[in-house]
Amino acid sequence: MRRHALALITVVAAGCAKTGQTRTSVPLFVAGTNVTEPVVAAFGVPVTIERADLAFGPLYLCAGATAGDLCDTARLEWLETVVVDTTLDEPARAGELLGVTGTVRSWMYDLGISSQLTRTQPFILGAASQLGAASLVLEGRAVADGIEVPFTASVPIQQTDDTELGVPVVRKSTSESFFRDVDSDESALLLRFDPSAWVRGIDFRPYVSRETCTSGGPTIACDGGLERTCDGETELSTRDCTAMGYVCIPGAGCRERLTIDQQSEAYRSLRNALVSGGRPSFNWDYVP
Amino acid sequence: MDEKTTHQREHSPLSRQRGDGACCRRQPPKRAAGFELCAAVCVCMLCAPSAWAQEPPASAAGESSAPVAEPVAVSPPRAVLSTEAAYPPEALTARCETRVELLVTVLANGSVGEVSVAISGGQEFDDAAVAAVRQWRFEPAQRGERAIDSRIRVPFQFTLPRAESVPALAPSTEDAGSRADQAPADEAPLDVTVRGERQSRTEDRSVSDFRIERDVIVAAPRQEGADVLRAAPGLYIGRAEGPAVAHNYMLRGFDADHGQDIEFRVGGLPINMPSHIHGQGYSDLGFLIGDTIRELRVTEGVYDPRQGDFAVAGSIDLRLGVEDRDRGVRLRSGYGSWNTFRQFVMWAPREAPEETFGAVQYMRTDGFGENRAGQSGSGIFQHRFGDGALTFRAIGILHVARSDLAGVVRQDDVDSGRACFTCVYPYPTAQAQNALANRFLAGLFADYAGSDGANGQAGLWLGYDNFRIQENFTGFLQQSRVLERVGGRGDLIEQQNRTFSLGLTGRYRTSPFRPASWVHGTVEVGADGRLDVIHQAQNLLDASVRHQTWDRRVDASIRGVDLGVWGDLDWIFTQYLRLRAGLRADVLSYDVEDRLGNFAPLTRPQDSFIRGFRRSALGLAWGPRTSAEAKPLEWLSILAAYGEGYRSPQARLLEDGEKAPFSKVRSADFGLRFDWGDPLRLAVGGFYTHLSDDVAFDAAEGRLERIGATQRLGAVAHAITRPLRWLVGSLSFTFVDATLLEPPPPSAEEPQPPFAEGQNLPFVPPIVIRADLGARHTFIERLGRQPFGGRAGLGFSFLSPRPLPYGDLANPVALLDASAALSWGPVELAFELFNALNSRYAAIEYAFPSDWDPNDGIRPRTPARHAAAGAPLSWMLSLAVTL
Repeated sequence: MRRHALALITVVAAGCAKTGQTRTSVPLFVAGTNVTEPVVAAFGVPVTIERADLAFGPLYLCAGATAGDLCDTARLEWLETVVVDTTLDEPARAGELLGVTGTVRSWMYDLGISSQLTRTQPFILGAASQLGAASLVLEGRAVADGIEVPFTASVPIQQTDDTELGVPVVRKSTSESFFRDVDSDESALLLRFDPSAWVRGIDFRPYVSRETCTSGGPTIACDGGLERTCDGETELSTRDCTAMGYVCIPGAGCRERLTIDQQSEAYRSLRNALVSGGRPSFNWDYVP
Repeated sequence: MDEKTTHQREHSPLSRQRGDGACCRRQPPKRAAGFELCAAVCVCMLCAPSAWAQEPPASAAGESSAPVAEPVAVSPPRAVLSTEAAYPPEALTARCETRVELLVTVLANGSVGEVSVAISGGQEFDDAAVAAVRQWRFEPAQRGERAIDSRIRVPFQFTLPRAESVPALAPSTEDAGSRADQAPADEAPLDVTVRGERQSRTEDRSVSDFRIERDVIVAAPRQEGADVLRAAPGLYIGRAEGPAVAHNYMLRGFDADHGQDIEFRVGGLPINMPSHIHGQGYSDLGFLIGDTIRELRVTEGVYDPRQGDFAVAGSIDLRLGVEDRDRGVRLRSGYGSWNTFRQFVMWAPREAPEETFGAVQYMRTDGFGENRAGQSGSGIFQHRFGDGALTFRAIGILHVARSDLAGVVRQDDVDSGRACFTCVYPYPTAQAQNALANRFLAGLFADYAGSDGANGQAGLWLGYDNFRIQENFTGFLQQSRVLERVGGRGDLIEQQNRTFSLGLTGRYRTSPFRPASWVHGTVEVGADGRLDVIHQAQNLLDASVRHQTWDRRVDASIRGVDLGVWGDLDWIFTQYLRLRAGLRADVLSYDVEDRLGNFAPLTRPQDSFIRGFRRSALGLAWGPRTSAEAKPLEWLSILAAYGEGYRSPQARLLEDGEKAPFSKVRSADFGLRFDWGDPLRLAVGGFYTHLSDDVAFDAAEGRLERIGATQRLGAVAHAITRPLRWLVGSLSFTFVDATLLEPPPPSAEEPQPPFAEGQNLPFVPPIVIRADLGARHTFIERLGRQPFGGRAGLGFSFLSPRPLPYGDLANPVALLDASAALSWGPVELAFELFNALNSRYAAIEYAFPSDWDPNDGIRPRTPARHAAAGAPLSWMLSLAVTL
């Protein structure tokens, strides 16, 4: 009897409660873009993207107009990571955004590598571990000056000593427009990445040359696909990289692929594009 | 309205005086044998003292008429049915003649209440006299048209071969209107002390005025002194942070946190601490000693001009005193669950007034889970002295406590098994949580009770409080604002608060003025003043490196002055209508020295300014306090009330020159009160409260932050029954719909705070139920010359599911406490069970982001449920001796 009485009181009291915000979850989907045509990179160099795997997550959606320091409390969050094949446009379910209803005006996310206040070294999360401690693994072929340059880039995106600890590295800027009044009936959120946005700024011209041995010149010179080993003006030997199926990299010689170095301008261009340029699109009207 | 009689030394009911009959044994005075009422019924509804100070006693016992010399006549009780005492057969062989004098309480319904032996003639004769007088019936004492309790002295002269009873008033078994003259010529004049109402002050301003007498207070078992507050209708108290931190209070739809919405007074001393860093109006009642609490007066709403700062939900006044039955030297030792030990010592001389006593207590415990060990000690000393119209009361309170704290755990960690409900996170920053509290309060009050009905009080008090706490709610989220690129060292917030307070109080109520025969009234004027000097600091500590300070958040000194004045008119029109109209105004000033004010971000050059921001503010808060009472029938009162009050701000949040820094409260009550005497007293009513500026707890800062305006609409019912002399019960039911009226202030992080019309306030339980049941009985009148008896009690509290932020709903809380005790003469053995149902509940719940896993590379940023576990089933066994 007592239990029934208490249960009745509980039901009555619970039915009387009204709250401004309620907990909610929104299914999160990620997708890429099927780039069928070569991307035109810097100085008109066409680039064919063969692989663009992105480590994505965690993701936070915030109430304020500026994410980062002003998002100690997020409206919605997804705390996992996933590897996104950004060359495929078929959405894949990543998980659930969990949080509460209300307006969101900004977002921020990491690319598989997070920064926490509890230590200065970044955390390599699951998806980035799958990519060899990288946020992005990019492979493709650029044709510069008639020379085809297969390339690969492995780019970790993380906070450094010069940046801000404890805050996700990619954040909405104040000039970007983003607004949603999240309620409990959201169908899903789809984030779509376009890898061509990351490639467009890369200048591949430094990776092709037509040089001969000259006084004061490099020890290894590339003349298109031909590798010349030099001693000053004297040509010591040559190799046809193209015939071997390789590419001649200035200063390096015949290589299977160009590996974009972390100190190069191409790398910086790629990194900047990932952090500040190539934003995903947010689609709240996606219906799975 | 009430005058308490004093125990005048020369007429002390318990003084050991020799009667006639020298050949008979002399037994020490004892309580009346037979059934004992668990409560002082006569004082319950009619004899309430002043809410804000101990009322002065009535004029000395020994006068043959009521001490209240006013136009309303007072008549003593008159016996209408008496029984002669039977001479004890076993005493015949001794051929004794002796005299017994009894102190008899005549209740307002004419029956006999408490009986005690003033002059003993020997055990057998005492028993015979008591047995006889318990069958007597009286016309009760009267004040005007109103029956009141009274106490009379009844001598019995036992002579051979047949005993005669010499009544205080001539008995008349058939003619209630006649007065027989049977008093022997050589008998001393009767000593009639009237305990009744004085027409100078009424305490009940609304239907939500509750007086909880000692019998209800002690009916259910109490783990600590402050647990007496559970008997207050609609009040829930929780102990989430250990014995060194104040309770959490909820009353009438207000989540009062540590006391921000309830004005507390103990023995007339103000308890709330303004601008305390751990919570505005911080009120730690851990020093309370249950044995010294005589009465609890709960004034819900703000209708009395004497109510000052923090009286938003209402006021609670604890009157201290030790009843006759409990006086003497008492020692009690207890041992219980979790290696809990309690020691209590009290000294209350039997010849001294009720308000004179000294008591100390000590407690230590290992606690019911990790990091919950604690110790505390407290002492309360009070003395009433003086004679005649002017008496004095001195009071002193000392309290020390230190405890470890378990903090809170995330509900999702408990659900997933990563943490247990009573556990503490396994990091130094969580294990290092603890608190320390020291407090000293002292006061001297002078009470004046004029023979013309005028009365007044003046008082001086001072206090010192030292508080320090280390708590971590959020784990590893914080960054230093002072040290560049330092963060993640654990959010162990250290708060320090040190306050010195000094206060004065005074009031005067005139004698009744009677411009016509059908109307009379009084006027009261009064003033309260206090000065507080507060030093407070808040830092972040790294518990893994010897508590290194790695951030400084608060470093401030505050000087606050609060001066309140009031006037109150109290007018009675015939016997059917009473109107009260008062006005109160308070001037508050603050001088804040904020040594970290104008703190610049780390990116600003440090050589462009000197840190610090001093500011001051002064404002006036005033409002009416009105009430009306219609009494169409003797047993029915209709009450309505309206009042406006305020709550002072957290001074550090004030801007320079802020003129209106208060949270204003508007309160209204309407209801009915039914008084059918002991069988049932019932109050039912509805209330409405509007608060202009509410506050809520911010876990990241560990303190209260402003939210918007709020309102409460509710109903309350409270019943007290004493159906039998040995049984008392109390039941209360409170319903409230507490809602937010406007969104919280916007901020950069939350520029458009979500708000829904009619949004419920979080943490406030819509329904609060409380039931107390107590029984006391003497099984054997004399077992080896001592009475053998026992008592039992039940206490039940229920909180309906509370709305939490973000649509969550807390589980209901149902707590049952039970006790049983056996007593043999001065010795009592008691066994108590707390949370007998072993309910698993959260003493307090919050919703905020936290990160308690610093090594997983993930930082949660959405609000999560956190809880501090409530105590599970526990027991306590105690042994008490009263000498």
